[in-house]
Amino acid sequence: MAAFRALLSEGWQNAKALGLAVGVHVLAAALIVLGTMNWKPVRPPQITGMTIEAVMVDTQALQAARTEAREAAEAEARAQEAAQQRQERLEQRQRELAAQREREAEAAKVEEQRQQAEEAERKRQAELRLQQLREQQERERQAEIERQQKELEDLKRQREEAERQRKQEEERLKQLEQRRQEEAAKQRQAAAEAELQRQLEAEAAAQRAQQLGTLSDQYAAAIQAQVTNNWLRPPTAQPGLRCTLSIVQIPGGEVISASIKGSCNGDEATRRSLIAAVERAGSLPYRGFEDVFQREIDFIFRYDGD
Amino acid sequence: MTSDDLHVWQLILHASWVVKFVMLTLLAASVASWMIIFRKRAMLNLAEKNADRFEERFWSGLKLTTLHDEVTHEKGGAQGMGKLFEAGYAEFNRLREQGRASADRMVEGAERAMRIALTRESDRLEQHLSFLATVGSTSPYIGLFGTVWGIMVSFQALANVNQATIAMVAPGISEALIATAMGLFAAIPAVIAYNKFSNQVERIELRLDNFKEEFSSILNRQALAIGED
Repeated sequence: MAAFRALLSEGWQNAKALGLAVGVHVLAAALIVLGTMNWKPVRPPQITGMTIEAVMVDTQALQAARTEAREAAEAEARAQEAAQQRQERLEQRQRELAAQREREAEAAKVEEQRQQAEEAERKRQAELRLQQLREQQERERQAEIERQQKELEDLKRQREEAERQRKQEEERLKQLEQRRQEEAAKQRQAAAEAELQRQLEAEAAAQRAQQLGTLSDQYAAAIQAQVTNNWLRPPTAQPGLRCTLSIVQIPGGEVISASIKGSCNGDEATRRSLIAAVERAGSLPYRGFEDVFQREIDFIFRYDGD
Repeated sequence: MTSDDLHVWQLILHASWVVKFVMLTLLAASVASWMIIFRKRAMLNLAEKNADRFEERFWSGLKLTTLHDEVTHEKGGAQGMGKLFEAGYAEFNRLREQGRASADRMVEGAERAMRIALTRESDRLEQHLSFLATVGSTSPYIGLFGTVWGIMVSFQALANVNQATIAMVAPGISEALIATAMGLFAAIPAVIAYNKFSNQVERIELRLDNFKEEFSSILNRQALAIGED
C-alpha cells in the first residue's frame, strides 16, 4: 500500500496510468457480463395454492322457474309475428299494382325515342364515311411526297457524313504519327542523358572506392608502423610472423583494449609482447583517417625480419 | 431484473461482507498493479532510449569536458548513463584540481562516485517492482480465502434442513468462486509483467555497469597522462 501511495503523488503520468488501468478493468468486466448474460438458473417450479369457493343450490326449483319464463316469452313473440306478417302482405300488393302501370307508360315513350334516334344515326354515319374516305386519299398522297423528299435528304446527309469522317480520320492519323515521332525523340534524349549520368556516377563511385581503399591501406600501414615502433621483439619471434590483433579504440585513436584474436603463429611471449606494444603505443593514428575509423578493428600484424 | 436472474453482478451483491471485502481488496490490487505496469513500461523504455542516445554521443568523439557541460545543463537533469558519467567525471575533476591525489586515487574516487550513482539508478529502476511480485504471489491466496469463507457460509445454511438439495448451496458456492476468479485475474498479469520488467531492468543495469568500466579505463589513461606531465 505504501507503494500505491507513493505512486499517487506523481502527477499526471499517474493519472494517465490510472486511466489505462481502470480501462482494462472496465473492459474485463464488460466481457464477463456479456459472457454470462444468458446464464439461466435451474430451480424447481414453485406451486402456489389456489382457493375454490362453492355454494349449494336446489337444481329442481331453478329448472321449473326457468321453463315457465321461457314459455311465456315464446307465446308473446308468436302473436306479434302474425300481426306483422298480415300488414306486410297488404302493402306488398298495393306496391305491385302501381309499379305495373308505370312500367307500361315508360315502354311506349322509350319506343318512340328509339326510332327517332336510329334515323338520325343512319344519316350521320353516311356523311362520316364519305368524309373519312376523302381524308384518307389526301393523307396518302401527302405521305408519298414526304417519303420521297426524306429519302433524298437522307442520301445527301449520308454522303456528307462519310466525307466528314474520312477527313477526321486523316487528321487523327497525322496527329498520331507526329506524337510518335516526338516521343521517340524524347526517349532517345532521356536514354542518352541517363547513360551519361550513370557513367559519371560509376566513375565517381570508382574514384571514391579507390580513395577509401587506398586510405584503409594507408591506415593499416600506419597502425603497423606505430605498433612496430613500440614493439620490443622477444628473441623467440621468427620472421614470417602473422598475428591478428583485435583493438578497441575510441574516436581520437585512444586504445581501450587489445587482444589476440584468431590465428597467430607466434609463441606465448610473442603474443604478450604484441599486446604490450599496442598498449605502449597508447593511441593509434586518427587524424586523416576519420573516414575509415571504426571502434573495433581487427588488424593483421606482420613481421618478416629486419 | 427479476429475482430469477443469476447474473454475476447479482451474485456479487448477494455475497457476504467478508467475501465483498476480499473482492474489493483484489480489485484495488489489480488496478494498482496495472497502473504500475503502465508506468513502469513507459519508464523502462525511456531509460533504454536514453542509454542508446547517450552511448552514441559518448562514443562520437566529443571532448569529455564538452560532453560534461552538455549533460549537466540537460533539461531536468541527467538520467541513467548520463548521471553516471556526470558523477564520475565531476569527482575526477575535483580530485585533479586538488592536485595532491595520485592517478590511482583519482580513478578510485571517480569509480566510487559512479558506483554510488549506479546503485541509485538501480534503485530507481527497481522501484515498485516488488509490489507486482507481491500481487502476483498473494492475490490467488486472498481469492481462495474468500471462496472458502463463502462455501463455509453456504454450508452452514444446510444445518437445520432435513431434505437438502444442491439448489440450496449452488448460488452460494458460485458467488464464492468469483473471489478465486478475481484473484487469478489480478495475479496473472502481475506475474507476467514482473518477469518481463525484472529482466529488462537487469539488462539496463548490465549496460550501465559496462559503461562504468569502460569510462573508468578512459579516466585511468587520462590520469596517467596527467601524472607524466
